[in-house]
Amino acid sequence: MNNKAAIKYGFLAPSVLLLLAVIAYPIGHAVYLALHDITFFNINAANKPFVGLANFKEIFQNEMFLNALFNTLKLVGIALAAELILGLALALLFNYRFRGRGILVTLMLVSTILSPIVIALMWRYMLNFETGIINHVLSGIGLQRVAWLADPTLAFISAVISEVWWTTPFVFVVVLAGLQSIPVEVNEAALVDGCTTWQTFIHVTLPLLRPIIRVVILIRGADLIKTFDVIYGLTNGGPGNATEVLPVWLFKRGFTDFDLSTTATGSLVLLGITLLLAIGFLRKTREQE
Amino acid sequence: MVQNGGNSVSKSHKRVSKFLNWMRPLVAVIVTLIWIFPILWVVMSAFKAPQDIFVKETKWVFEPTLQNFRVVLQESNFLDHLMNSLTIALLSVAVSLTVGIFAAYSIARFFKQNGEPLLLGMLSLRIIPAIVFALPFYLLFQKYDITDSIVSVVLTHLTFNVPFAIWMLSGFIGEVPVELEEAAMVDGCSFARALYRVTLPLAMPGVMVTTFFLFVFSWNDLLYPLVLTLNKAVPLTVYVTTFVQQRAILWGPMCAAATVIVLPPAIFALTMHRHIIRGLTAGALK
Repeated sequence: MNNKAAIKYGFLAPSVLLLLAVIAYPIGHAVYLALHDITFFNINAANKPFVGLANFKEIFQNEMFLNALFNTLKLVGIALAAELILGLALALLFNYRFRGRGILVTLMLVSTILSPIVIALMWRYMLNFETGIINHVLSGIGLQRVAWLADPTLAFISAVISEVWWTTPFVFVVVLAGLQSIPVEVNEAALVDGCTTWQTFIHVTLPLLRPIIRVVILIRGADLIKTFDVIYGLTNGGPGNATEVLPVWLFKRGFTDFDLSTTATGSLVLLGITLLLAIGFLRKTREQE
Repeated sequence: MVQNGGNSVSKSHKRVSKFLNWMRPLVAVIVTLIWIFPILWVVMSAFKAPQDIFVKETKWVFEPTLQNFRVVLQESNFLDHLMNSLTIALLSVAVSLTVGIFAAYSIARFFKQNGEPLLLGMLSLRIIPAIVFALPFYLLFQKYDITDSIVSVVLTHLTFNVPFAIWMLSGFIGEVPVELEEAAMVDGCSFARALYRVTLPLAMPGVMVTTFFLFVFSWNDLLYPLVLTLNKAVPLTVYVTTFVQQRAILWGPMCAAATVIVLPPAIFALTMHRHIIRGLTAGALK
């Protein structure tokens, strides 16, 4: 059977149907849950009360929700900045062909294939006040031991460190590829024209890297908003609610409290914010062109 | 290339260059060692007896022991969880690849103008947080009483693996020259046959890279099995969280479990690391 149109759509059909089933259906159900007043008690009732957008109004007055939302945005902002700076620095360091570079890059990438829950537990072990190696090193060089996971601010920083440690190599490799696609002559021309190395970097290299950095921001930003595993394994939102990001809060609301409407509403708000940020970012960068 | 007028600039710049070129590999090695230290540390701790772990000062010299591994492998259903993780990952990969290769072929070959938005759409599906899907899936599977099963987890994994497979594979298939397929079809092959005989073998490195990522995404996933499984289909990721309960934190066995969990993806990666780096960068550079 060689009919082009049949192949064209026939090959595509299984995927489309599958995606409709596993993506469109749950989102539809989530919307349904968000628009009705559903709790654990009336879940099997026939007619659940339709409440329109009341759940959305209510959730924005929920202090814990707002706290979780704020934590999420904080995490994204700080971690993303850290990953970009670190990744860029690493890429610049490695942007020179030397023997064994490939092996080093591969070793750096190992952290990216680990399960985030394993990484969270790993850092939880290392940051342990009594037995963790980080504090052992600190006290070894004469500094005080730090309550990494007991202090709210430090716990947040620990979460950022764990997340950044895990995913910066990805940023690093992508930026490195971008750097290597810049012809050497471009840098040399700038240097001949009298620019210092720093000036060359700011005015020549960075602008050329902009497309790549844009992609990285989009991908990593979207991933960071979704962060669940690392926080769940490291602090489970604690101490108190200091590291409770939105996915963690939603998980607790949905699967510990069985507050279905709130969870669905919150999830959709999370999705909405992600989309808004993504579209806003794309629009802004398109204007710059 | 540098003219006389710029001589002094180029000389000092050359000196700085030479110094940097000597320092760079050294710093790179140091940075890499520091970066992967946590992994080495956990693996080392896996071989430590409890008295060497629960100490106030790190013991660098200790007698290695296999007791943590014994606890992990014998005293619990570790092998069951391992099989669960493996089954889930392999099934998820199989379905995603099968469905994805066909869709990717169609997009790469027949959607020349409209290909971009479709692929962007696939990519944007990644943006949806898993928690959005988790609750509806749980309610649905609970209705049919299949929550604690391999199938339910595999279905949830398709939400991220199928779009990713389509996105990645269409790039790799696109790199195979159409002429080769056309030549095969002139010789009498159908589209499907040409895909199987010509395109796939040539796109095999890309397919392997995609397989690797699909496998790792499934293997490392926590949220869906955490929500869905109870005791029959519990994979390793959920299992490892049980080592850090409220009262007793079993660091030794946890490190041992972590070491074992990391092995399959690590081995998979080592056998194809060059392809992986190419796949990572090719995707982003587009």
